[in-house]
Amino acid sequence: MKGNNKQLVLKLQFDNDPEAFSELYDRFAEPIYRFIYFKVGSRVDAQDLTSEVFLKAWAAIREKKDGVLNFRAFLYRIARNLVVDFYRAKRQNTSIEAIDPDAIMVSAHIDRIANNQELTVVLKAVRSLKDEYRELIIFRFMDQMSYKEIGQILNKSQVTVRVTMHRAVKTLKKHLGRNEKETS
Amino acid sequence: MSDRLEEQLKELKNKPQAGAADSAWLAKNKALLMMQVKNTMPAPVVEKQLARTVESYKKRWFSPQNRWALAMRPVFVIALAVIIPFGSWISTVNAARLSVSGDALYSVKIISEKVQLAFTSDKSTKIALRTEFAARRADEVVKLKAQPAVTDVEEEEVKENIKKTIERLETEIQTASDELVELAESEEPVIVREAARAVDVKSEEIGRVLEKTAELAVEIPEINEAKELIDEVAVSAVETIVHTRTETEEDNSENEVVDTEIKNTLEDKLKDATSEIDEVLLILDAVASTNTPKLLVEEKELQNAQVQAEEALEVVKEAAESVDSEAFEEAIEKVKEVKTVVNEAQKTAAKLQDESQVAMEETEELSETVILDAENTTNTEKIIEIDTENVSAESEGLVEADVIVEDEPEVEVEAEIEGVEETTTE
Repeated sequence: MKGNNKQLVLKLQFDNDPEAFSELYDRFAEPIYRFIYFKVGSRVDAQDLTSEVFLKAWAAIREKKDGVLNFRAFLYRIARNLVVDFYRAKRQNTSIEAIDPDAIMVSAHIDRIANNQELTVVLKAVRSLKDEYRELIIFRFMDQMSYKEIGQILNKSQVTVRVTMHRAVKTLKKHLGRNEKETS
Repeated sequence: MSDRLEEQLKELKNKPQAGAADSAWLAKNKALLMMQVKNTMPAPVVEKQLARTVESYKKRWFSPQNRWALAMRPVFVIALAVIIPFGSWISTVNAARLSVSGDALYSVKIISEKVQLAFTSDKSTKIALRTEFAARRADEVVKLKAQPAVTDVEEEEVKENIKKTIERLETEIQTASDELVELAESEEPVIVREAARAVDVKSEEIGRVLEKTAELAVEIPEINEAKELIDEVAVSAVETIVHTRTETEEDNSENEVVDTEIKNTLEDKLKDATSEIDEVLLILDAVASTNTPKLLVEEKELQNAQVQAEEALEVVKEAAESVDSEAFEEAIEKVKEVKTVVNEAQKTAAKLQDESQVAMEETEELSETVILDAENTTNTEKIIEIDTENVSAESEGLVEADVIVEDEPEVEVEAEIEGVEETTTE
């Protein structure tokens, strides 16, 4: 099915066209899953939360209270809220930022990419960033989002996003330098 | 940022370690979500379409600029006479949605479903609709079970309504299954798979809903029969998916996704079966523990049921091995076998549990009677003691009375004798 995201959402909202939902899922399921996985560090939890994101999105569209201006930003906002709820439900005293990224990294599947040492180092460095920076790196470089779009998701101005992004990249490079030294 | 780092970050998104999603999961999850979305789609927007039509006609015919307006008004009056009852029919259908068998509006609900089916020409949509209606019937059974029934007559009525609803559920799910077989003969594998998924997922859902009425199954055996049918339909839906797989051998990547899906579905079914068997074994253990020292149920029947459940566990293991080795046809046969054995074991366990319960209640009643009898005996002894005391007290009284009674006549007799003597001497 062709059409931009907005057209698809309208088709879903007003024509009750399930194919529009199918297309939207194909476009966003993977990036949303990746975004959540980076935050929760567990495949099963990421899968559950991804399903929930789409169900919540559908429920919101069905209620037809407001039009959805940017569907992608809308999905990411739902995903962020669900991750917050997820940690709240787990009653973790530590904040999302305080999750030990190394604990997530020390997992079996790291060994599987031993043949790609350089990427492993980059991945480890991204994971070691604080949540705010990590989120920005994923949005900007993996999901190829514009600053405007990131601002819509995070409810921040474009200037703030740019400044934070600059800091995020700087920290990432710093971590990479340290990691590279460690691995070399 | 250096281009190299940017490239590496872009590259990361395709790495599973960086959260690249499993394609099989994405496909399965999509199927489930689509099902959910289709099932929660608002009812056809007839009302809205009607409103739009009326609005456009109003503009066209009632505008002051229109010369035909006056002449055509009677036509609109007639049209409204048709539209108003139609509109009220829609409102009635909406109101009937929550009704259950026995309610005044229930027939409206059933008719509206039949109309919906009659107006659906697409075979796979028809199958999805039928499974949806079957799921509605299952919800109605739960609602009926929760209905308060004070008198015996009311209770009987509720049972009758449950039976009728179960019958409708069975008809819908059986027809959906039959239509799926027909669809598999004529349609593309992709379409068949989607319809089969719908049947499998909905059947599982219905099975879970019916679990809530498990305690009624002893009184209403139709519930167990419906569960058995639903299990059969779910397994045969997976079988249909397996058949589509063999038909599309040329596309390996597609087959891989389908294989994973079949594997996951069969594993889920085996997991469910294992927990059902565990539950049966727990019930049987509980019955066995209350069975000593006094035999409440037939020892042999209990042992047979335990052996049956353990055998079912063995078949589950075999089926799991077949699933692992991707021998799906074989695995499905095993799953069918497991389902049959589990259903039998569940029935036997429920029966034995019921018998044991009744026997225990009877034993309790009996022991209560014995205690009461014992208490009564003690009371009787006390009464006898009291009586004995009274008797001795009375007997003492009697002796005194005898003395008095014996004394007085003697005096009187003596007096009489004296009188006689006095008169004779005179």
